[in-house]
Amino acid sequence: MINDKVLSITNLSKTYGKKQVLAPVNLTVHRGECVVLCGGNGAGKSTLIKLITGIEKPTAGAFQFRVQGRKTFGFMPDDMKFPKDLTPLEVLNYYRQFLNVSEERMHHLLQRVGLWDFRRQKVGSFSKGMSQRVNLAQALLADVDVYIFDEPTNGLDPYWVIEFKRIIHDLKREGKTVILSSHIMRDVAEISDRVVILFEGVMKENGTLQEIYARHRCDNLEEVFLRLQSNSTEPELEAEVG
Amino acid sequence: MRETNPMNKLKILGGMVVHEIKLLLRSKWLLNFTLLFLAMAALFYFYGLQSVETDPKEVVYGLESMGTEIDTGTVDPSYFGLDVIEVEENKETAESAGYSRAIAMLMNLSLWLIPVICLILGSNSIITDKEGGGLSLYRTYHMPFTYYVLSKFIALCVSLLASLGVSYGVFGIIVSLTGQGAQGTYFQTFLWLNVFLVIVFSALSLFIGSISTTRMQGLSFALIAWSFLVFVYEFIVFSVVDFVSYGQKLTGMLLFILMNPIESLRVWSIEKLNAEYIFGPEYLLIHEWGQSGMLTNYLIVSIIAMIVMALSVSTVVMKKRG
Repeated sequence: MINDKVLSITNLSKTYGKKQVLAPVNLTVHRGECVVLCGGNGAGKSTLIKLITGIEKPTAGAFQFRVQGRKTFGFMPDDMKFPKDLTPLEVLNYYRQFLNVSEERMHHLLQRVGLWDFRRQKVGSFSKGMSQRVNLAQALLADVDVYIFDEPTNGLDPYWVIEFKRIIHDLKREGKTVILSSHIMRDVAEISDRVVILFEGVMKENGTLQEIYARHRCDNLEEVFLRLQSNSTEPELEAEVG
Repeated sequence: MRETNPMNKLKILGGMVVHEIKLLLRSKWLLNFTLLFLAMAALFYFYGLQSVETDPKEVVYGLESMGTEIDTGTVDPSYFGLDVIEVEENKETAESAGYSRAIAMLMNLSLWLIPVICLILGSNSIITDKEGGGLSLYRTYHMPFTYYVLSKFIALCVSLLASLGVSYGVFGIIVSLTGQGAQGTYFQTFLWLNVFLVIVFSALSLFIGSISTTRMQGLSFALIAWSFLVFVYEFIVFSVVDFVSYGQKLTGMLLFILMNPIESLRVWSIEKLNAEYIFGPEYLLIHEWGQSGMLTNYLIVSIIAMIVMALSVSTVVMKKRG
């Protein structure tokens, strides 16, 4: 398993001014794994993703990708706004030139995300879900070993949430490594090989669902969350009562 | 990801430039600016160039017009500015024909409007990418920021120059068709002034975009930079020059002028319109520089230095701050 390490994170943390938004994280991701980062709003999921994608610089710690090829990973950011005056074809063409990817692959991806018929329409006229699918196609453009998705199901309708999960399963079948963040527990349970739970910037759990359930003596993630939350709020409640 | 093949590098840069031009051409800003440039070119043609024709003819100078003859005795009448003034005036009138009140006004209009247009358009182009997440996404592709800044710069210059070309081109064709040779030269100077302004302020706009994080911040920085260069700078120069020793005043002043593209381009255009006499006794030096082509050389060197500096600093800032 040691040789299969794709990503090693050591004591990675982030502080804005005096506020620590991510306490030191240690994490190893193996080849072919689907690791889901989950947690509530402000838990530190997106911060961790921004750090490992190089969008932001860590305050301390380090990380290393061990992959072949010139491009390290495909990335789907959260709440990406593509230029309104461009068509999906033009958006993908812009990113395609950096990767030396064939036009056929781009066309195939547009079909895969259901935007082939809308390829010449401006992105400005798209719904949130359609824009998210352009974003998904952009992330999949690179034929790489690792894919990182930040809140990928945001804005997608139920049909496309199911399709997205199928895409993740296809990637896993091809031996690709997937790291994604989500706060939708059902999605997490369905696609994850390993779950990392972040709570208020601190990594609280790291393991398979079964391992986490066993530690918390329950059988669903919602309950794990409630327990983690109540553990953190109990002192405050006591103070209020007192 | 670093591309090593020079042809591939150029291909990628070319693709990025085309992408940026597409974005600029589809934005309504550029269309509005084209209309504005068209109005300026029309004003220059119908108001500026016509005034060049009429102004000197109406001027009648001093004693000569009164038909008075003054006996100066043995002293050379030119000492009193009588004979020689007549000759000089004729020469001066002929030379200064390119610079009238109307042209000065239109030149100021260009010197004020084009910088602010470039600053807003250029900084906005980067800030939109920052706010929409495009710049962060670009970072994940491990592409050099030099490509990003250069593509923005080239696209801005090309689209604004195309917009200028369309606007001034219409009236340039009229000038050339009507065979007004001298007017064509003035028109050309005016066009070059605008071209230089577009190039240098497009580069400065990218620097403003690189240090701004929001649209409002970018707009504020653009307006601060614009008002500093257009209005505040000259007062600072006058204050600083007071502390410079007399022997160094002229050199100091010229150096300060070259450091501000608005001032250097103003001086350059006035010289090109043969109106350097308005600078006062020191004009001789500017006139000499103009005649030998040194003024144009100095201007080009100072503009290139500013562009290189602005683009390099923008690249470094974006690499560090994102």
